Amino acid sequence: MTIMRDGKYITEGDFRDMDMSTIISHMVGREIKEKFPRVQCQKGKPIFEVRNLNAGRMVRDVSFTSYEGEILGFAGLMGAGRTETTRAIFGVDPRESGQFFLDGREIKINKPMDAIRQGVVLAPEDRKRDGLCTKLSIRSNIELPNLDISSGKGGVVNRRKVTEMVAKAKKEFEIKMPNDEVDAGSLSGGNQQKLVVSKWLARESRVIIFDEPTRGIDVAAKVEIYNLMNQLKQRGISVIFVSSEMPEVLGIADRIIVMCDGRITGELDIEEATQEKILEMATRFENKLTADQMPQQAHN
Amino acid sequence: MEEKKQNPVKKVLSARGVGQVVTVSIGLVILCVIFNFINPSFLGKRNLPNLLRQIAPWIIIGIGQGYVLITANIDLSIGSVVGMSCMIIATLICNGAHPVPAVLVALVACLATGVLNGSLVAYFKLPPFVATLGTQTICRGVAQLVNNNMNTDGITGAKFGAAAKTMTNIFYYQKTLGVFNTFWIALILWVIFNFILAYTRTGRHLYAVGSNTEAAKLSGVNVAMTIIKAYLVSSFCAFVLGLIVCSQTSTGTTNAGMSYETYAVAASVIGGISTMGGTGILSGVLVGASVWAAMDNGLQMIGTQVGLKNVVVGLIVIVCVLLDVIRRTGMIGRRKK
Amino acid sequence: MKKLFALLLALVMVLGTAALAEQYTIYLVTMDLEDMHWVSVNQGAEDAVAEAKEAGVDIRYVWTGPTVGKNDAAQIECINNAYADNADVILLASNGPETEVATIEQYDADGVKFVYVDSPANSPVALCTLATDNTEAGRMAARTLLAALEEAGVTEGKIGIVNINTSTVSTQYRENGFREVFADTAFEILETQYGEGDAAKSQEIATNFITQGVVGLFGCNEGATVGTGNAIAAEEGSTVLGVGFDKSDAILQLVVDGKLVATTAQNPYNMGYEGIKVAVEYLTNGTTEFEDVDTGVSMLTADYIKENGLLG
Repeated sequence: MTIMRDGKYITEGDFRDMDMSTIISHMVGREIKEKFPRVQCQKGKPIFEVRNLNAGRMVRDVSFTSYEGEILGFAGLMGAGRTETTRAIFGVDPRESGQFFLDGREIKINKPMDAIRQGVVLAPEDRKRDGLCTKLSIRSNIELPNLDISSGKGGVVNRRKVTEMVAKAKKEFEIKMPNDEVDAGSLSGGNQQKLVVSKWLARESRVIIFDEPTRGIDVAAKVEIYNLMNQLKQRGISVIFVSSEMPEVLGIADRIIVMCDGRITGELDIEEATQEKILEMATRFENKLTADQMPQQAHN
Repeated sequence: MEEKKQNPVKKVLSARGVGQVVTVSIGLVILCVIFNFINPSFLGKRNLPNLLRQIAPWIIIGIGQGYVLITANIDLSIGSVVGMSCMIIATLICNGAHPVPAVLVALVACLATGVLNGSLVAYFKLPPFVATLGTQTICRGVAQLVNNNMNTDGITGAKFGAAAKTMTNIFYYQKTLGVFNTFWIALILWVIFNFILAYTRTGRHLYAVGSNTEAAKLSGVNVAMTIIKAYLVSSFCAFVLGLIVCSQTSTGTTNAGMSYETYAVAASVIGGISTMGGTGILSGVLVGASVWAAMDNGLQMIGTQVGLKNVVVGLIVIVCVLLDVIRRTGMIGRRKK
Repeated sequence: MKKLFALLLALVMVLGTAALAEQYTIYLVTMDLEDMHWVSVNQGAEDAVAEAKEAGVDIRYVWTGPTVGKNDAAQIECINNAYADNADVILLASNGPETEVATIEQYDADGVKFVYVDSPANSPVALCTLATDNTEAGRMAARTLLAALEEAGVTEGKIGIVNINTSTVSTQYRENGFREVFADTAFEILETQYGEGDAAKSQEIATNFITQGVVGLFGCNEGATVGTGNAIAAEEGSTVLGVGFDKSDAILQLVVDGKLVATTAQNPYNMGYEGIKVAVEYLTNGTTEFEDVDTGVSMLTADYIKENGLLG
């Protein structure tokens, strides 16, 4: 096996001679003390509340609150309705009922721009299709949801403002790119995810929802994303994430909400959470599951 | 990785879309030199304004088709809208209307078509090929129905014939500063629509929708409105060309504009606007239109056989689309410095 | 003395060749470049140009026309290009009577002269017109069909007209002349169908007419006639009588085979030939007064074709 990093050759050796942590440290360039860096934070006041959200079969009477200083994880099996919940919150999919409260005041979200303007943003599950415009430049991607800020009279874009935005994002998130004109689609998975987040942080976002934050990202970059989520938590931004990887949920979340068949079936603080409890809540309506919602044995 | 400081010329050349435009421009210049060598009338006093006036129509509808292509859609109704515009204006004038209201009625009809196209594609989710094929047929039908399936009489003989004559002069027969007005009109339209595309919010939305429609939606872009805007621009440009054709022929002909949508695609594609959406700049339309018209004019000036022009231009279009596909799929990262 | 004489002779020869070296550019702009009709016009023009060359008049002759089918805007561009290529005289078969007028008059003011062949435009500035009287030609075709029907003992029934499109004036006039003759008869002429002059499309239309039970058919130009004749030939034992327009080998064969009663032959060759003659006369002698010429039509029946060896 040969290990490379940043386009340079690092080392090679027989696969059987290397253990996981050695491989990882070569890939990253430093030792990873833990796969899931956890940061303790004081849980503060409620930031974002969802009440009685109903959107078709997959989102049934969902209500929850997220707090300052905590990362809220949504666990469940495929088809539990978590992605649909995030999309309903973000205003992408229509909903039958539901109210949203930000810092105690009710807000209206009927389309994505409403959510974005009020600071509720989404990093979607399918990055390449829904998260970034892969044919456009990095600059264009950062600019796109922020055009209301960076454009003036008649919709004319202020290029200087955008350049500043991009420079700030690049520095803050350490996105590795040769220049800001390359296609967003040419970045690595980790850098793409950083780009997705950076475009939301170019404006004052209060709630960031991640749907499968580290899917398709290599081991080293995963850690960077977890660190990023921790940083956001420490800045007082509400971090909510959906993940089908049990270790990830248990490793990073401070509180876990479990969904099954469109409904919330349980809520656990991290201290009391175990795999068995989560799995039980995730399969509560097992006899009502259809064929394509059968529990996946791959989870461990 | 450090960003290298680029000298300004290199910076402009490496900007998106410019590469293809420059390449095609060079090819165009070489072609013109060759044509002129064989027949010196090509760049002569009479043909230069003539050639510029022949480029104008393709610039105009190239702009519209370009806008639609950038959103990863297509507008097959352009030719029929040109015909509809021409017929409505001519028929109304021949029936006693003053050119100004006649033109306004045509404008409304064409803009309505744009809205229809955009709505079918954006709200009813019809594939653009199918939707605009439908409107292509409908608009051609309207063009024929408007005067009972017949070409109109001359508009200069109608009640407001003098005003009609002025209209034909303004839009086709007169020159300003030695160049036909038709070309200036095309140029002005280009300046306006290029500004919108390159420097405003709407322009950014158009590219985003063409790149990844879903991602654009999740970045807050109103995808439906953006698509409708693109089709509106396309129908507006077709309306203008219809007005020009009406001025050129001083009548309404039911088959005006036939197949023009394909020439509009050619002008856009030669200039680097991808049929897959999200890329290309409007300067490409200027070059693409010029290549199209120069080939038509030049090949005729040097006396080549009839079919040859179609073969040659068809090959050029294929090569340009191939280049685009290779760039999209085989060499992503080519622009990294 | 001898030297002076030689010098003078040389001078005269040089001046003479200089005068001969003046080359005129004459353009022929037709409605399209495929129809046999225009090919014949061009043939006549080419022959006249060759004759003129032999007589010492150097002509650069170019034949052009829309390549996309009958299209007014495209034809105007052909005229524009002819002007841009420094044409001295343009022979024009105008698509429509009004559409080319502004262009013609603009270039006429700049010294380019026009001669109308086959279809005149409504501008009097041209030197003259050499054309078929299309309305009269339509009447002749109708009379021939009427006679043939009466001879076959058919005195009433439906007649189908296969025309080209609604924008071509010449074929419209033929239809008008045709309808005029049938107006007072017991025959009923059905709604005209348009095949764009395309033989295949016209054949479909004619076959539909036959299915509707027509007793007679009229094809208004070459393509329409070929389609009409083929449709009649395809119906085994059909008694439908057809007349057509123009003469290509295909049409002559159909007439000889008895599928068509007759075809109306124009004289496109003469239009081209005489048109060039007019142009040359103007260019060399400055004549501007010319008489219009009705180049006439003849009804070609099977007998006529065989007698005159027109086929083969």
